[in-house]
Amino acid sequence: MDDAFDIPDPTDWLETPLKDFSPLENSLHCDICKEFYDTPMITSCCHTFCSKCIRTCLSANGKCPSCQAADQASKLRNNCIMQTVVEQFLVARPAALDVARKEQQVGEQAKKPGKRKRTVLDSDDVAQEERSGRMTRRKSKRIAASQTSEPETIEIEDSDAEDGDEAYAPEKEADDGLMECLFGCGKRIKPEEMDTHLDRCEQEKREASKAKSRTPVNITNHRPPAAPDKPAPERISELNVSLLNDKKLRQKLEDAGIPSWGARQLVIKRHTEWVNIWNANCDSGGKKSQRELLRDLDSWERTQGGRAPNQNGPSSSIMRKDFDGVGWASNNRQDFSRLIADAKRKKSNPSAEQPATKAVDMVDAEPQSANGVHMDGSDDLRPQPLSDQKHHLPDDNEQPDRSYENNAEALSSIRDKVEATNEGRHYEPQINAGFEPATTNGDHDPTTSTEAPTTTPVGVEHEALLLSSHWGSTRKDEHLSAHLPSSPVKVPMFAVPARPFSDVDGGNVS
Amino acid sequence: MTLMLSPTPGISAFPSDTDMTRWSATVLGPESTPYENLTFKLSLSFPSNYPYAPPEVLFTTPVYHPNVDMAGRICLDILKPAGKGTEGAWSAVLNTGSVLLSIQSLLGEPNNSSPLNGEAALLWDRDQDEYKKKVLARHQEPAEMEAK
Repeated sequence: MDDAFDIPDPTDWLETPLKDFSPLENSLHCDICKEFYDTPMITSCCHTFCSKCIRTCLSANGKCPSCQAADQASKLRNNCIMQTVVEQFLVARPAALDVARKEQQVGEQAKKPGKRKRTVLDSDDVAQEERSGRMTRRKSKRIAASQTSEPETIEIEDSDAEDGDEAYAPEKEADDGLMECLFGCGKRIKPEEMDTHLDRCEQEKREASKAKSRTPVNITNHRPPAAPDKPAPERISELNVSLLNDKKLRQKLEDAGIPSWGARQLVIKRHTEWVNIWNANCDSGGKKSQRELLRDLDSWERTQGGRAPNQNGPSSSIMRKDFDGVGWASNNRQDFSRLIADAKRKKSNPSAEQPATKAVDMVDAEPQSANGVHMDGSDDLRPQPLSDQKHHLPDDNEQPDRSYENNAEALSSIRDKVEATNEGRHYEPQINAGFEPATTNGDHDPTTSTEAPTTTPVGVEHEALLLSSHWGSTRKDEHLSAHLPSSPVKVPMFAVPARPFSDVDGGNVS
Repeated sequence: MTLMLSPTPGISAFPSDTDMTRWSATVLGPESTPYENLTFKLSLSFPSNYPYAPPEVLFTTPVYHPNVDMAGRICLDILKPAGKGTEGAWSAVLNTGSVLLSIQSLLGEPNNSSPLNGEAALLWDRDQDEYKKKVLARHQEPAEMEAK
């Protein structure tokens, strides 16, 4: 899941010592779609865009979006070197970012001793030296690296006693004027030789990865034409629609293998889009099959073409747009809340807990937060709001019995449900925040509730009981106790959160 | 993203909770103009074929300005779709930040040759003090608007 959200962004670099990489990465982005260049094409006015982006622009108004100079799609040419640079950058990016983030952590540790003034001054000196030195394309990288590494070396000379930190080990050796390979191969090289080494290092890495997986890494020899066994597809030209009548136009679309329904305007638009998709694919050397291209056209159809929400008249467009947004939000609310809850949990508990105690913790924490009821006075019993969603969740758990005790399968299913319920807890407090339960429940025996804080049963029994106590409704209370005659501990309906769960947790441990 | 993490001073924008295509933005009036120290809220609505078509930008704060009408619509060339032979200057390379920056500078440098609010255009040229009074009379800070 984490990988899916880890989208490369130029701002990734801002927090690291390599913050100069942010503008570098920005300049590898297409100005139109704001993504990394995909099949970059250069215009006759020397601006570069993704093939698909610039073709769409030119078919709309025939001007370069950057300088407004008139241009034609047929004059676009592949910017091969940009393609290579982007591909290479994407290969190098993860490792470089890793190194940068490690440097950042080291840097943060270095800040603690409070010798900041000195280091700032030194790093400026170093940067100046670098600037006056020869310009290389690794310059920014070196400056950034030196800003964190070199100052430490100077500090070390000052205070030998204090630098027992292992994290500084590479920087200590930096005294000898060598730098560690920026791609992390572990070798130490003279700064002047860094460039050549990096090239070789990268080459070696690539060859290693090639050897590992037989998938061809098509980076170094990027050539516009596709694989030799497949003839490069030919570009198609735009139709001169004014010369074609309706019937002939539709015939053209059918010949091209694309849908021909809809009004004439839509048909023309669709053909233009198809030409753009097709030709962009030609620019990239025919990476995609015709079926994929048709799928691209279909997604265009659904978002901007004939099946787009706002093509069916103004009134219906507004309705459908609204419906889509709100409907989508509410349909996926569970998912969104789960993601938010996951993120929050991850933030507060970065280290993974043991699953068993985790589950118990969650059950304990649950009723407190879900109901927004404070139960410091143990006599103060409150009914659960009946509208509470959780009552509808696990019907099969309302009548738990002792069989859970040795039934691993059932236990794991309970845990799943605990998880499921727990995931709802972060937004439910808001719903119930204004809920002020006015009635105290007279049905309950107050004495049973005082019992709860003192009971800290161990492990799964506790879990199962808490579950039953939580999910059972008020009416089930007697019913439950009837079902659990031999229960070692009697846990009443609403007594669970009488203490903060950390206490219960401590009880479990002891 | 860049707009959120390294913002231009005086400009901010963020998408609405439910609909990613609708954004709210705030722009601070430029210094040494009648709009100095005033905060303006705007709404942006992005069409499905963005960035090939311009976003629809409206002032939600009432603004007294030659190129802004009573409903908050803005007369600005880059907000009109560029087509063959039309005066629109929208370009696909523009982004939300650049649009808002253009609007901010439009506040200080109105285009009086094609005014939506003719009175404001005349007053801008003739009597800046009176103009500023009108601006302040029309303006409401976001907090005031919510109080209504």
